[in-house]
Amino acid sequence: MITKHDLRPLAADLWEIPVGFRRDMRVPARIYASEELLDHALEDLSLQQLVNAATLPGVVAYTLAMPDIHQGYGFPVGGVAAMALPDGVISPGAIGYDINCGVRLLAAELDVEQATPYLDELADSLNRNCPSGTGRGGRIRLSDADLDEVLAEGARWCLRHDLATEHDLAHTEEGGCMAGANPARVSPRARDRARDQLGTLGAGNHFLEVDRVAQVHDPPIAAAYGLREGQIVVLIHCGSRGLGHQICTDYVRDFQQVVQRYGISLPDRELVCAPLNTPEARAYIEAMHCAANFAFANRQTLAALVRESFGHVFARRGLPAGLRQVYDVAHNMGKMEEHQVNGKRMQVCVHRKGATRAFGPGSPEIPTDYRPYGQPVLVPGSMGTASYVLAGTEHAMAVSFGSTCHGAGRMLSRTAARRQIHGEQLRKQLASQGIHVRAGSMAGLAEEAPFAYKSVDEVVAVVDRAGLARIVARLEPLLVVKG
Amino acid sequence: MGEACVYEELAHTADVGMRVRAPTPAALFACAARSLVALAGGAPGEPSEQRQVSVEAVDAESLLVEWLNEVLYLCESTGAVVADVLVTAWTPTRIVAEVWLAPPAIPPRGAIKAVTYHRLRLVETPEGWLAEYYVDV
Repeated sequence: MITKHDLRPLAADLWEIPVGFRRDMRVPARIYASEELLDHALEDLSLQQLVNAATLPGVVAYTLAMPDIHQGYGFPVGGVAAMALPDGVISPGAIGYDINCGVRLLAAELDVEQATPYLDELADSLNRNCPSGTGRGGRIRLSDADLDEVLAEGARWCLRHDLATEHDLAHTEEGGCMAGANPARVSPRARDRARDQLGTLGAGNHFLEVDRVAQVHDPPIAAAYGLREGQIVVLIHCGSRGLGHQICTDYVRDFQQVVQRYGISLPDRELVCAPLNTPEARAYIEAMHCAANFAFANRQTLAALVRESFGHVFARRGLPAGLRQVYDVAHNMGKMEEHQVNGKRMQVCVHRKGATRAFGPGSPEIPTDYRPYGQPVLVPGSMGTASYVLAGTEHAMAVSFGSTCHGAGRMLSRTAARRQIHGEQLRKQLASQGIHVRAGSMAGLAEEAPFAYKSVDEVVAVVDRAGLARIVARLEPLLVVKG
Repeated sequence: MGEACVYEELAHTADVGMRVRAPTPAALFACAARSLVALAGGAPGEPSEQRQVSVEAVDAESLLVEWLNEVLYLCESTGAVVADVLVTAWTPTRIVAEVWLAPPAIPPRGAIKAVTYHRLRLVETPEGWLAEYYVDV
């Protein structure tokens, strides 16, 4: 078990486990955390998993933990690792089962005063329109040919089917489409799991939330992102559903033999990987991009359904019902990027699992209207507290491969959360705070109780102080739809 | 069917696991499949469909993961849950089983994304066989 004695402080909120901690480490492991968040990280296997990741072939500079880190499978959630091209490795487990799980933010024309009388009706409409939980398929049933198109085109497929606008695509990471996706790399099982899941939220920690902009911290950037205090916004958190889960399952299984083939020894079987310049890695990347595209299309379809609900509830009353997309970010992805490593520009595969890309001002990957300010970073909190909009920084480009945190980060197990509160009791508690909740399962709701999460305020304060992102605006929930 | 099957939930910060005990490896694998339903918080209704399932893997631990992922796929692709399992053949690298599926009498509270290799255990103990597995939810 790693203790505080194994860590050395490098700066305020930055700690390091040096290479000498374990013989097989190739690079140090670094953790961005306050004392309090570090104590949480030391309570489970998070840092052990971060050290394990530091043994992977081709890993460069250091492995990184964001302040919302918690134990995952093989690789910690809230972890970042960059592997050198061409012969570093790619590890499906270091990207996660929910490939391109991510967050989308839509900004309404409405203010909170205009929306408040109709929130109950809006909650019912969103709950009907946006299927969540287990066993609820979406309205769209995809044929094999349709699915191939979605996998290859991502959110662009939605544009052709009147579910997206050009503005939406321009304000989505990668334009909503990862190039080089190859549907032939996706198994029949993954296809079966996807068939009726486009436009569905799923269960677990996925949600759809209507928030108000409670506080603007950085007025110029907030204005550039189109955010103002008192405004209604919508957060959508979900990913590639069963398709992505099955793709990761398929390749974690296949890579058990691939590591033997290439003579790679690992401290954890969930870290199985393949050298980036091999046919096995290329197959996974092409399949992973398909899952990423499905996730972009899924969040885009959900955005269209949310717009439909806003139209139904507000437009017919003569209220403004428009929802402009602020941005859509991925927080479970492997990306080929160029970064400065030890004074040299190099191509790396950045694994972000429960970590968000946070490119700084001037990056060509950012939409032109945001380019002077940095990429929007969307950090959902727990449903009873707050969420944040941040902006990527130049410092993040220099020290964290342009990455920052992705959420509050769990600190209490689902089992423990269920023991502490009943779903109905939690629903009433949230209602007394003025938060309307619709949930498919009360036990599932209890598992997501706000007290199961770390303080999102503390998490974003750390990344702001450490320069990994700037706080732009704080959002507070008014309505939550959970699976 | 009918063999002793005992399981209990294991905590994980973000997800959840199961410890499963049974007298033989075949019974353990059957029990593990049933425990998946409990893990998701559901319960089966009357069995309505029977499927023959055959899975191979490189070793016994991998076989457990692959077997459970196969069961998971069956459930997600049919919308059913496992009502019962009869393992008809088992070796450390191959399992053949009959799986009875049923519409859920109690719908699962959460979806299981995948069964993982995280802290995977499959051992023979003086009391019988024991497995521990964790799922991503």
